[in-house]
Amino acid sequence: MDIINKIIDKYFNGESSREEEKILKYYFNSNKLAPEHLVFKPLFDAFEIEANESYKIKKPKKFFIQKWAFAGSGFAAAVLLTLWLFGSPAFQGDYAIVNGTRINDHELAQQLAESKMNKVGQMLDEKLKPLESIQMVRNSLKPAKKIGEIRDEINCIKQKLIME
Amino acid sequence: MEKTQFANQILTLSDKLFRLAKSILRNEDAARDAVQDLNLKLWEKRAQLKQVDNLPAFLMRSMRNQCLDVIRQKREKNELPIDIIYDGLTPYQHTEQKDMAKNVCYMIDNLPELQRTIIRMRDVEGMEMKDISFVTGISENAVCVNLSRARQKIRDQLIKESKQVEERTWTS
Repeated sequence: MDIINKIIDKYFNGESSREEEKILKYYFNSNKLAPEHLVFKPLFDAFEIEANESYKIKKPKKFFIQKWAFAGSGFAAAVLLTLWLFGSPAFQGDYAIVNGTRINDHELAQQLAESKMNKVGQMLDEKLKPLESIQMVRNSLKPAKKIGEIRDEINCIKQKLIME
Repeated sequence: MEKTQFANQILTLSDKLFRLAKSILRNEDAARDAVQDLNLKLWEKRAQLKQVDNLPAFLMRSMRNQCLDVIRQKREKNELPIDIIYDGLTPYQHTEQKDMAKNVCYMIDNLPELQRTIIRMRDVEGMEMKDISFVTGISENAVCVNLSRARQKIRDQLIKESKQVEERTWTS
C-alpha cells in the first residue's frame, strides 16, 4: 500500500509517469481499494466515463424542408383565417360582428372586412418570402443550365467538322 | 493524402478531437460543429498534411486553436458565453445523488481552460507530456505545474465534499 500512496502523491504533484498512472487506474478500477483511497475513486471513474465518449456526426440541417413546411403552414393559416372570416356568422352580407357587437353600417362593415383582408395579404406575403428567395436562387442558376446546351452545340459542330 | 488515408489517419481521431473540443467549449453541439469544421479544413488542405510529423498532436493543436477562436469570436460579438446546461444542482447535491463521477466532470469543467485541457489530455487521452506541451504551446515544465494544480484542486474538492457528506451523515 505504501507504493500506491507514493504514486498517489506523485500523481497529485504532476510528477507521475504514464506507467504509474496506468497502475493507479488499474488499482482504482479494482474492488480492493483501501478505505482512505475511496475518496479518489470518482476521479478515476470520471476519466473512464469521459474516455468512452464518442463523436457522432451531425446530420445536415433540413433547411429546405423546414422552409417549405413553414411556408405551407403560413398558407394554411391564411386559408383558415379567410374561411373563418367569410364562413362564420361574424360576417354575413351587409353587417359584421366585431368583438360581439353587430355593425349594421354597410361602409364600416366593408372597411373592417377590407382591413382583415389586408392583414391576410400581409401574412401571405411574409410567409411566401422563403419561396421567393428559392425562386431567386433558381433564376440565378438559369445561365448555368445553358452551359450544357452550349456544350452540346460545340460537340455537334466538332462532329460536323470531323465528318467534313 | 487520399480519401482512405484521410479516413484512416484523421477521421479515426474524431472521438479524441470531439472530447477536447467539448472540454474547451463546454457545449456538445458547439464541439460537434467545431470537429466538423476542422475536418472540412483538413480535407481542403490534405495535400499539406503529408509534411506533418506527429499528426495526432498536430490535430489536437489545430482543434484547440479552432475552439479558442470560437470563444474569441463569441466574445467579440458579445454573444452569451456558451456553456454546458447544468441541471441546477450544486456539486454537493450531485454527491448526495450518488453521481460522483459526473460531479468530478463538473469540477473539471469549472477549472480554467488550460488546466482542464491539460488534465483531460493526460488523464483521459493518456497523452505524453511533450505532446501536451506541443498542443498547448507551453513548456513541459509549465504543463506539469498546470496538471498538478488541476489535480490538486479536484483532490481538495473531493476531500471537502467527502467531509461534508460525513458530517451530514453524523448529524442526521
